[in-house]
Amino acid sequence: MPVLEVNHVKKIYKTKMGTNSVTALKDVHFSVEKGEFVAIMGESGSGKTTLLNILASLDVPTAGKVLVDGKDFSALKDGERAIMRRNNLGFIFQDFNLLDNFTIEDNIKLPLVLAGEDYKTMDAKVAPLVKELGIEQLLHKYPYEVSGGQKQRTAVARALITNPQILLADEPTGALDSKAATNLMHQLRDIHKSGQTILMVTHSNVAASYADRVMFIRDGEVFHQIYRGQMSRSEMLDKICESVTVLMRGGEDSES
Amino acid sequence: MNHNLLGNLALTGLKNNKKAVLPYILASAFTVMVMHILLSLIDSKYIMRDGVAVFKGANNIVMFVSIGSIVVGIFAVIFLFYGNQFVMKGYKKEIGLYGVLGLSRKNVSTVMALESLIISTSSIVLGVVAGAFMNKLMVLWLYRIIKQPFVSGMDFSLRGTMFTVIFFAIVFGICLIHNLLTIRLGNPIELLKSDNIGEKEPKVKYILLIIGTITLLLGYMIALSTDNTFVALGNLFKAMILVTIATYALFIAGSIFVLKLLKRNKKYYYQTKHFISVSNLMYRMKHNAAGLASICILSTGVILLLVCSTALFMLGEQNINSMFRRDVVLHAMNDEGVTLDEYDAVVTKAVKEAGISDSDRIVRKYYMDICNVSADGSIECYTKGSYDFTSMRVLYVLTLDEYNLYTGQKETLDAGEILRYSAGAKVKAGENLNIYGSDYKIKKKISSKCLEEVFDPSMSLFDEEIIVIADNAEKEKLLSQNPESFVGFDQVYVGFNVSKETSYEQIGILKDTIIKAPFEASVTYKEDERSTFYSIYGGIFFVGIFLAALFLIATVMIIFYKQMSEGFEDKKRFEILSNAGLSEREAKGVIKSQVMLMFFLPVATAIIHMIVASKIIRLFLGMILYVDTLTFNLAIIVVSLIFLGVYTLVYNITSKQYYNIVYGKEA
Repeated sequence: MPVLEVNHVKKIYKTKMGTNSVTALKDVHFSVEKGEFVAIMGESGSGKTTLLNILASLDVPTAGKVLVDGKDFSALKDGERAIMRRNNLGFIFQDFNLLDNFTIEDNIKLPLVLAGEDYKTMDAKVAPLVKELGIEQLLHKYPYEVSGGQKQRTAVARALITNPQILLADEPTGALDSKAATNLMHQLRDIHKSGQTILMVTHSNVAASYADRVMFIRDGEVFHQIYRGQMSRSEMLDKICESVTVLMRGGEDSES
Repeated sequence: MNHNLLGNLALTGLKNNKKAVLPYILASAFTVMVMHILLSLIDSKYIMRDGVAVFKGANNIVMFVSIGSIVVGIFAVIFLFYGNQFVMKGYKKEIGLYGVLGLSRKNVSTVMALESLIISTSSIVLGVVAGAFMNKLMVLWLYRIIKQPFVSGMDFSLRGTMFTVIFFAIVFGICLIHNLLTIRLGNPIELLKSDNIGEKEPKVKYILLIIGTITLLLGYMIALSTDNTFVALGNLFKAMILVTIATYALFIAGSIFVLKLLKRNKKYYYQTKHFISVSNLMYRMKHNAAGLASICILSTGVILLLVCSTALFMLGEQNINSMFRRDVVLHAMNDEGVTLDEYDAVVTKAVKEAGISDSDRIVRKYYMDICNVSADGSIECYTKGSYDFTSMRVLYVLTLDEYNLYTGQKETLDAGEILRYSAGAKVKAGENLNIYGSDYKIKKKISSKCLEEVFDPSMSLFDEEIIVIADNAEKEKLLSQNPESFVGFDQVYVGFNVSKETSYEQIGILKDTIIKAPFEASVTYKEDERSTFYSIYGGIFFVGIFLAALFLIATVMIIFYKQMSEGFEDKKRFEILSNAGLSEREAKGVIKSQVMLMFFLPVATAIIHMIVASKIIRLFLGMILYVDTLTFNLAIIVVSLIFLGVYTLVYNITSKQYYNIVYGKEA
């Protein structure tokens, strides 16, 4: 069974008066298997963010369903959804979303604390993660004292600490320099190799080239997909660039 | 540049910041109103007409109201300046934006001046109009408090209004100048990149913590150990200063210290509620400790003022009745060999002449002196105690005949024996008491009842000693041993009640007749005293209520502005928490407990201060009137409860605002 099923999801935004409506997602339909690393690409305004918000259960689709591990999020109440979210999903954001009044350690522990876990078991969970991510020296520092790459790795640690079904990454390399971005992508690949399902939304061809599968979204629809198969990363990158070019040309065609 | 455009910019600016501007206008208008009311009262024809007091004690009222209006004036400056600064904070972005859009400094100044004009004009107009409407109501209320008969007619003081308008125009003008001087036509990028720079976790300021702890202990100790009215005033000031310092120091350093302790306790810290609250509070306290301490001090001030005025007022009648046991009292120093019968005869004549029907006449004579009680308990001349107020007593000496006459008892005494009452010391029959160097044997302990028909001895500032001695010869012998005293005399009181129909004219005739008598005597009339009394205490009460209301409004405004700025800071934080899986209900819980702690800490502290201070304040009030503990404590409880109620109401309204900002749907 796929770990994530997106069933003909549609999202229409209405203006306050209800006279105008904007279709953000026309008809998105795909599924993600357990252990897959999927990248979603698209121009700004393509509906990427809307899709991610719906996947993250931060927003509710107008039509269609999202099933995580076979369960429907949208049917739940607000409070239950928050609990579902913290049990099943881990998040990484472009701007890290770390709390500046918590140490790195406490930022990582946050989901555990929210889940009401016993503080004695927390350290045991944090230790291997921070070691793997190379931030074990920073635990007592504050976010403003560490680099962007380190902040994002903290965010990754925070996202993974609950062993989520899916790791959702929203433009994770967006605020990083190329070296830090490469580092982060290597780490995400390693995490994926250990069996973690990852769904990443990105602009970056390079970042997307680390994924098993790349989906292109345009005008609220899944427009195209690339599977890695036996391709190397550079072959994958070429393929992505090619597709992006096609996509852009198509976009120009439709405009003219 | 087009002036319409600038005007529109000013209006838009006000509209965009209405959440900060509206409370500012309302609070300012309230201040203006209070000032207007007080100034109009000073000028009111119902209090002083052409420089003549309309009723007895009206000049006291004018004095208190004048003092009150000065306090309001000083307060208004601080208060409006604080509010102005908060309002300007919200404007910073807008002003920067104007700069980016290409407005010159001059244009921005024009916009700001226009905005300031709108704010100040609306505040002043609102305040003055409200004040004018309230003015008559306030006169009526004041008349009620001071128990004057109702008057009709309208009253408007042009002078008061003019002064109010000019005063506040100047205050607002100063604010505007301050704002203009601090304009930064900043750099747009800096403005867009908001204040999201991380900051260090606050450190515990140990020195401040120690200072705070010491000053608090000292202040509390002084307040609790004071047991005497004479030192109460000095000690009260000392304690107030110490506790104020302690409040600031402990709010700033102590709060962080406690939070750090909580953070170190992992079991406590790593729980959903505590985890978020403790770290949030740490930063909130870093920024707000001083503000919260100010709220605490202001709250203490409000409670204190209200308690004192309420106590004064509630105990007024009781005090008058204790002080004046008879409606009319003639008092004379009996050093001219006039007999008691002669005094009585003069009173009889005067009463007849004035046509007054009198009853319950009493004639009393006491020897009264000030004495000092030495460390071993013996009574000596007041000059011996180097004027230490704490060991001074009022000494009454009566002969046995006088005592038996006044109390209707049939005591007997031999030479060298006395009856004794002491408010301070323990009296045991059979013991010896040394008075002015001679030993006397105490035959019996008596009560202070023998004095009560004329006045309540407990009203006196000094504790009293009553000595009953065998006869006049013994009395002479005793007093001759104390030649240094210059204040000891036989005091004669003739007191009687009059019927309700007695007019002031009759009392006037009575007084005139008594003045013509061949001895010097003064006459007090209870109604006169009552009027003076109420004009003083009613005046204090009246002005106290105004000041308390103003302090309360100030507190409310600080809370409101704090909540708003907190809200914007916490918004992002709770978004992140929500992403991490904090449900809205949990968030609400966390916000609630955190905000509750923030805002009830100052009031709780204020009430504790008040409870600790209750004794010293009661003693301090003892300088002007007798305060019984029960009524006073009742006043504290009632006032604290009312204050807590109002505060809770404010908290509810402002926390709703806060919640809207943090978790609301509006961006």
